[in-house]
Amino acid sequence: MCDICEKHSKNSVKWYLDAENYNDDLVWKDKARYKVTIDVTGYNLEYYIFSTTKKAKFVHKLPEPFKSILIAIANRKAYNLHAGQVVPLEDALKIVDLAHNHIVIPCYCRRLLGGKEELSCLNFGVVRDLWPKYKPDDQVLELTRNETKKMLHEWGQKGYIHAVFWTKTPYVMAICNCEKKYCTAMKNRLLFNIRNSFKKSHYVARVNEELCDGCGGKPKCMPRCQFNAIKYTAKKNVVTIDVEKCFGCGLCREACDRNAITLVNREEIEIKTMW
Amino acid sequence: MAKIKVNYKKCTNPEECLKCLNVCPTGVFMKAPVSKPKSPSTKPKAYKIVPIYNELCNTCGLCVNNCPFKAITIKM
Repeated sequence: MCDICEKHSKNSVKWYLDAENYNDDLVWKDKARYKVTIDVTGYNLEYYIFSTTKKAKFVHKLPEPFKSILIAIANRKAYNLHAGQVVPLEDALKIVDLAHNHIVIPCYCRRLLGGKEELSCLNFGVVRDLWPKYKPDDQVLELTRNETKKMLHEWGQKGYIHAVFWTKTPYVMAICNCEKKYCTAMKNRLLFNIRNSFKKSHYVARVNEELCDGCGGKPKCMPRCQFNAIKYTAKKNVVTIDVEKCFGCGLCREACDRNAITLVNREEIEIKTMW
Repeated sequence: MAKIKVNYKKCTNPEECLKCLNVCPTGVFMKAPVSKPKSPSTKPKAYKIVPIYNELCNTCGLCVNNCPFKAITIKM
């Protein structure tokens, strides 16, 4: 089972679908969480992104056994900082329903790594008050629930992965819409093994080989996958998905004309994969 | 792994130039603040370009060719 759910969810729902985890009092009444919230909403954010990446990189270069020990510590620490878990679109829409104060802010990963300005970071709760206070120069969008859902659909079509971000688990603060090229959380997992900076979702994608026709040799799902989890076998003329690599974002599913890809619960598959 | 070096004496406008960030196909460079801001509402004093994800460099050389100050060098 997902370890955040084990700790923080009542009524056996996923942690980000528990309405209690959206209560802003979680921020105001917890000193450690308040500090992280200020770190990621104020101008400290840029330094926060840089320093966490620098630390992850440093740890990854150490010799064993220091490397494994420090990576384990970093993974545990990630729960007390600002990190996230991939969610498919249907769960992201449920999060929008549960959350309040929807605001879209510029993505700082894209700004720092690509020099790009893009309003693609969806935030909730306390951020709507704090962000304009600390960064009055930044362009922001305050949205209603329906507008937010429409934007989530658009981001999905562009091929952005939705990931729900906590600020010290279990407070739900944001849905990032990430790309492999820019997302520092994703890069710190894929390059430096900090698993909990970008956790896999509760699902994995599965292909129905009877329905898949390989799109005539050029599968449309393959370019949608940012983790190289989809392989095409010309012999059988079908695609297969590597469960070890699949993050369960569900983007490949939307590209399939024949509805051959479905998401299944990660807990139900036979191979135990790392979250 | 490619070693990327940025000559900070030549790279004089890291805040606005951002040519290397724009052209890099894998997102190697980061525009990083040099120090932690004093308070959450003050902007960082200065930035520098750090090739932080040099693991991803495919040595295409676009950053070297596009840098207007010729500040970037790549060594294999």
